[in-house]
Amino acid sequence: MFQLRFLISILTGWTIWILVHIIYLLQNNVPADIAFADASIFATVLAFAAWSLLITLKYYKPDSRKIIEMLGWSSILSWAVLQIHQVVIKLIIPIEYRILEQSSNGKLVLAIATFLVLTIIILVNWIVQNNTERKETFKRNEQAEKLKKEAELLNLRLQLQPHFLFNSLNSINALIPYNPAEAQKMLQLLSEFLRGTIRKDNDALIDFEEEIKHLNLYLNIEKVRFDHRLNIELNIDETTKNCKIPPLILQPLVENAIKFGIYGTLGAVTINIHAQLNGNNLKIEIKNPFDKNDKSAFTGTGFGLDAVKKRLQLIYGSINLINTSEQEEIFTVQLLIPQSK
Amino acid sequence: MITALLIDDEPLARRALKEYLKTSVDIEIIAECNDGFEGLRAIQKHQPQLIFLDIQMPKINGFEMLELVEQPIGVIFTTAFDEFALKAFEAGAVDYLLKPFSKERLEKALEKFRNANAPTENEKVKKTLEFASQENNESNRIVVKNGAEIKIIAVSDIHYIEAYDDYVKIHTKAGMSLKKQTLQFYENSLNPSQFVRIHRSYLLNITEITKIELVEKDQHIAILKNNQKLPLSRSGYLKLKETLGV
Repeated sequence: MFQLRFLISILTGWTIWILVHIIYLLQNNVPADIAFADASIFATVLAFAAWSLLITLKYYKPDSRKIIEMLGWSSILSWAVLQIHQVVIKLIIPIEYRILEQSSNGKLVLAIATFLVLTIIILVNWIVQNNTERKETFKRNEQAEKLKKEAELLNLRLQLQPHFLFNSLNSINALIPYNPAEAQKMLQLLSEFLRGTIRKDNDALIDFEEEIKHLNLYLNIEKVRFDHRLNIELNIDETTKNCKIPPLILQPLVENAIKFGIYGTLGAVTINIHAQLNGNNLKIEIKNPFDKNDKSAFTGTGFGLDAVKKRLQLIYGSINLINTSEQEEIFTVQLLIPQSK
Repeated sequence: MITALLIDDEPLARRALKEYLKTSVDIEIIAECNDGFEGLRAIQKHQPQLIFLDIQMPKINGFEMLELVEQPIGVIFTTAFDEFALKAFEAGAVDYLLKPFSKERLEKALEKFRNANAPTENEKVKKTLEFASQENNESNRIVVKNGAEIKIIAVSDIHYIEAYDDYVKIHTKAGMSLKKQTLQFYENSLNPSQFVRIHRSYLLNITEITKIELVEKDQHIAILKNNQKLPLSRSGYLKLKETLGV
């Protein structure tokens, strides 16, 4: 739409230009056919100059401080247009009708008009370009901001399962009257855990040891909540201590496993977490029991898994870092975290 | 004396509730249960007037358990957080308590129960469940009771559901289960791109269809993978065609 309007206004301007030129020549007693030829030639040369100017401006974008330079451009171009016109005129138009050669006034008017047209083209082009650029930058910023917020929200949602938070607070509430010391301990665990989840830099890698420490805070809270129904077997190889891992990767997966195990089966549940160095990868396995006869238990457990998968993909650019498998009544999530040498 | 039952899978949550209830002299706690199965057994055995019911519990959740309770019973939900909880509870339960709740808040709920002194009507429970299953996108199973046995049927295992008086017959590969519910309810709550009401009496899982046949003018039947034949009403035939995209 904008382009069509642009084209129409250019064509209109061009036609008016030719008409004015013709009328001026006719008033100076030039025959109609010659006036038409003269005006057309001039307008064509001008159009060609304008076109080449637009092409140039597409690639070279002058900023506002170069206004003098731009004015210089249009004057040089105007001069060139007039020169080319004169050369062509000399070739095809009889000398008595070369009005411009005889009238310095007309020459000046024509030069100024050409200069104005070219300057206007430069200015309009500059304004339009500036505007779209500003709009694009704005849009890009907006999009980046949105993505960032979404990521933060996802992270929060992941870490702060409301069920977990409120049930933990409820456990503390229960402990207060008969075991205040235990209540205090649990409140401290919960605080420390929450502090860990709202760390500022989510992309910087941390030591695996630190990640396990954070995971242990979470596990200790869950053990209080579920009491003897929940057993945790933590098997962390000594060599993995200094491995690097993105923060807050493990906890959502373990939370998934606990939920899957606790709410998917009856009776005591053992969650097994095993980590070892496997070549150039830190290999972590999280196992939980499930009821293989209850298909309905499978759906609705993928949220944490998918989110972690996405995060690892963004960080490492590889899609095969998380794998799941089922064997007998055990569900396993295997995680590979690449280590740089 | 009001006989009450605590059903919650977290021991500390039950402990907090018990602690609060100590001073309510007219409440007698007759049993504590770890999950919905124990809950159902205890309800059968003790016939309590009031139950305190958690929602997220092992195997079957609080709503699903309540669906299997036949007698009228007062329900106070106690839950940490549920996206659909507020709406659902407003429709049916005596009250709902968001954990951790205060003793005063519990007192208020009990007062409500004493005043109404009416057990939650079945009609209301049904409404609650309808809300719950509409709001709960993860409704991917149906819990049924055959005598003493409780079965969890995955929705994907259902071949079709048949209207049967006040009940529905849920047909699966493993056989048929009865459930006190309307066909309309399942038509509304199950995924409409998978379950199509092909007839006044039938709601069909379309992944089970192998063929649609014309038996006489304007009369179609659907043939299932197990060679069973189900009649299609005229509007049912059109709906099925639309859902299958043919």
